[in-house]
Amino acid sequence: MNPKILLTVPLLLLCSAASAENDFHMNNEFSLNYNKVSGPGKSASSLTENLNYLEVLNLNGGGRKSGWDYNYNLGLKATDDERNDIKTVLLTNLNGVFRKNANTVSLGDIFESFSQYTLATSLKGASYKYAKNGGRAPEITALFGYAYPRWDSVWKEPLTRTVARRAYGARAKENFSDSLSAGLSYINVKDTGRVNAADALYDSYNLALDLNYNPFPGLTVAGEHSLSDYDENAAGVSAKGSATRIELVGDADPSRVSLEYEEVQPDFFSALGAAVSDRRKVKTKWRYKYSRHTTFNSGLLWYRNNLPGSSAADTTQSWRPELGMAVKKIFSARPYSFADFSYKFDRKFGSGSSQADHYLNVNYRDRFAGLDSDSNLGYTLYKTEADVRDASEINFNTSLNSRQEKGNWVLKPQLNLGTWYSDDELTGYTDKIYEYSLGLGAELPGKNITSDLRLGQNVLKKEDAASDDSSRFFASLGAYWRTKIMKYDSTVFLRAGYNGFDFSTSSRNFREKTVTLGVNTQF
Amino acid sequence: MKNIANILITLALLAGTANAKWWIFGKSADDVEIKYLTINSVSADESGKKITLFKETLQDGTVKIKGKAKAGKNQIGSVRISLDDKATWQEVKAAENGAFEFFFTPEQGKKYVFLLEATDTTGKVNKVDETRKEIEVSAENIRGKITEVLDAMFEAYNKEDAVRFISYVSENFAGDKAFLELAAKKDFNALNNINMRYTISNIASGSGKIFASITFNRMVFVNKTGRSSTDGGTTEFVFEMDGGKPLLYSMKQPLVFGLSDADNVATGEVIGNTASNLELDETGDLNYGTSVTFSNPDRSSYTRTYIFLDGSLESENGFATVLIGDIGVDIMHIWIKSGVESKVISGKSLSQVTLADLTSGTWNSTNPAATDVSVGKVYGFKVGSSYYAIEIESNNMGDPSFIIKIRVKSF
Repeated sequence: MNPKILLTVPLLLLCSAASAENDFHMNNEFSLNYNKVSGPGKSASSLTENLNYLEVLNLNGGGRKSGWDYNYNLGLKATDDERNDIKTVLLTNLNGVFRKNANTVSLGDIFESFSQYTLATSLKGASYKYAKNGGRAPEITALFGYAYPRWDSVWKEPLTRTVARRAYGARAKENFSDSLSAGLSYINVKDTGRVNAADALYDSYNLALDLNYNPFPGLTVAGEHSLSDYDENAAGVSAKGSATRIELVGDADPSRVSLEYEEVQPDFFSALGAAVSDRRKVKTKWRYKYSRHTTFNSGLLWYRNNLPGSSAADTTQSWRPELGMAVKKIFSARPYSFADFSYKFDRKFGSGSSQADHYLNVNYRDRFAGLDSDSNLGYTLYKTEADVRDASEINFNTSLNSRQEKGNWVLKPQLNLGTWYSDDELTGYTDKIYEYSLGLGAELPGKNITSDLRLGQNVLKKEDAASDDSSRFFASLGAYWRTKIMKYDSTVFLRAGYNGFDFSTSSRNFREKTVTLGVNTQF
Repeated sequence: MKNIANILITLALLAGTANAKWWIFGKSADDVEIKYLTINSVSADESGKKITLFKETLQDGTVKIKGKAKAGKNQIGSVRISLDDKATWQEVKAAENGAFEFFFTPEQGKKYVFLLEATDTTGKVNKVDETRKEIEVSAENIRGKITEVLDAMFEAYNKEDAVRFISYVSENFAGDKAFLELAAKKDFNALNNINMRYTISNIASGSGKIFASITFNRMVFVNKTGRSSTDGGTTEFVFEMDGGKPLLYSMKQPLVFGLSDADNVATGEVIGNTASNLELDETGDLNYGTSVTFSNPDRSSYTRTYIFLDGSLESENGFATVLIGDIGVDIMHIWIKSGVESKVISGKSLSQVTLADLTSGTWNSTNPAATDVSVGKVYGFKVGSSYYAIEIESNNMGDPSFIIKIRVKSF
């Protein structure tokens, strides 16, 4: 199929559908952004200088024609800022869905999530689904399309051209009983049209069986087994592999228990699904509500790679136990007091490396005389042998928030303080970060105005004389006014920001000033 | 390890036949209870009290309620459902075994207060109030909801707020939530002044999940080195709905979150990205680009050359000859193949080089392209329509043999 048909067919159907319009919505946002970067180190900035615009338009609607219910969606974006998009004008969304009784046809951007290992990405193409409410008829889905990340890749724009990844597949799902359902999925993927000489081109398929079983209330058993077979012609590799996952979840007060096992063979390949190959994983979690105010959490994650076990030296194993406790009303006289504690241990060894990291975290929230406070203290110990990392870190953050009503105004002052301290045993250097920020939210509910002002500073102090100290002073303002423009619900917004970066090496210093004015309109 | 799988399967089968619910105590065998209840395929046990649905995710525009009531030795006599907080009740046809199905077409924006009443043949009734759920089909477009969640995730990540960030990640996260949580904490310890922005390119929904494609750019400071780095690209997320809230289900390379454990966090890669994207290594430093070692035992007999596109190293006969590779290296020169252009990038480390540094200014096509191969020197190259930059990492200045290490970044 010529990929351009992917665009033409939905557009024609969309025009046809629009002629029988009875439901139409639009969301449009236009903004002008001015960035000014100055200073000798300005090239390190990630902003595009001077005046730029961003226009994002979305049209969607629906209705009924000749017994078919339909919905459509069209999205366009225009910008002259390469940070927003490399193309000046682009089609972002194009999708039409047509339903009649048990039949659903989707065209354009289609997203049919078959199963984790087979299909979990969007395609540009067409799908058909048969799903009858009630009864025991299986749910059938079939699709064809291209896994282009963008619409302009479809017509092979030089800037966004990619390998053409064509896919077709089908899924049948059957409810065998009230508590047991299973699905069989097949997806075939073939890459054509190499862009670069070294691009890998895959010709593959995945077949998967997934099931869901609820033997009694609160217990769910779910799993999937998938087979893959692929040829990759750049490196001349052909391989077959499998992936399996099983999960048991028991959920009924006072406990929630989960047990998960996953094994993905090194040669398993999923072009459009979601899988990390060469991994065997076991994971357990237990949440226990000890009382109305106290909850315990515990978990263990173990995984390893190099499943064929060809060489012990290539095998990495990891253990990650964790333990946590959360207590509401930790002090009976303080109804808003809340504390949680967690400890996580990350042990990884093999392949010539041995790592043992400890993470301790304590959080306390409370309210004092109308002030909400939230404080967090963390301690992390990193140890990776041999002589890769031996460091400890302490971080502390605290914030104070309040909400005050003054006449027609609602004021939300905020103070944040933070510090980070890192001691590297290998280099003998200690680094420190200090952060503070002040914020003030101001709202006029009667006038539909909200605003937020923040200013603060981050300071990084490096003990190593060869590295620069740095500091960033920042200030930002955001103001939003919800109003009607030509009878339509709109939001006018203004965002302004200032960043001043200073380094020990003054030739790296730079300043960023940015102002954005925009309007969002929808109906 | 297959034994573990067998044990799990056995446990699952045993659990299905067992009468004892090993974590629930104190229930009478004759109570009328709801064996299971699902609302649009989501178990009522796992959904919160409020269920927000989006029009785009409804199959046929309907809400499907399925369940089964059980009454010990007795049979279920009737099942009724209320959608208006007990004001009115609708009889639902139940099978002999207590199974029932119910469909309704909701109005957008209207709140439905759902309750289920199952009565057995002796008149016993289930605990009706325990089935109470508030169901609403949001008037908000799913695009708006995804934008809201992405805004919150980017803001939490920019502010290095791990707790808030991880609250937007699903328990079912395909790369494993535990990996992502630790990776995000490592990111926040390794980076400072994170400044990431994005615009949405595409959103599509179906089968209960939502797909989002974004264009992003970012600038970060690395605590370990005190250096800044910028990059950008196109990447994809998948979200799944949980209690009306979209939660992150999977992420692809290039990663925007969890740079410290890319192998375990990302599931898949977006095709079409040619740039080198940021990753953090186990020491908390940026692991950007590719490290390449030029090892030449006889520099007067041949030149060690390199092809950017596939990273292949070749040896070509003759001193300073570059016919196969894009560039050739010796201890004092960098040579280029005919058609390749070069430039010197002054005052920057490789991690700070942006595409703008390469697309602006003038290029040279003369040989040698460089006469200074000392550590820290940065050069840019244009090969066809592709841009690359290199930084000299080490140079042992050996003569007649040498070992030179460079780091290569593509754009």
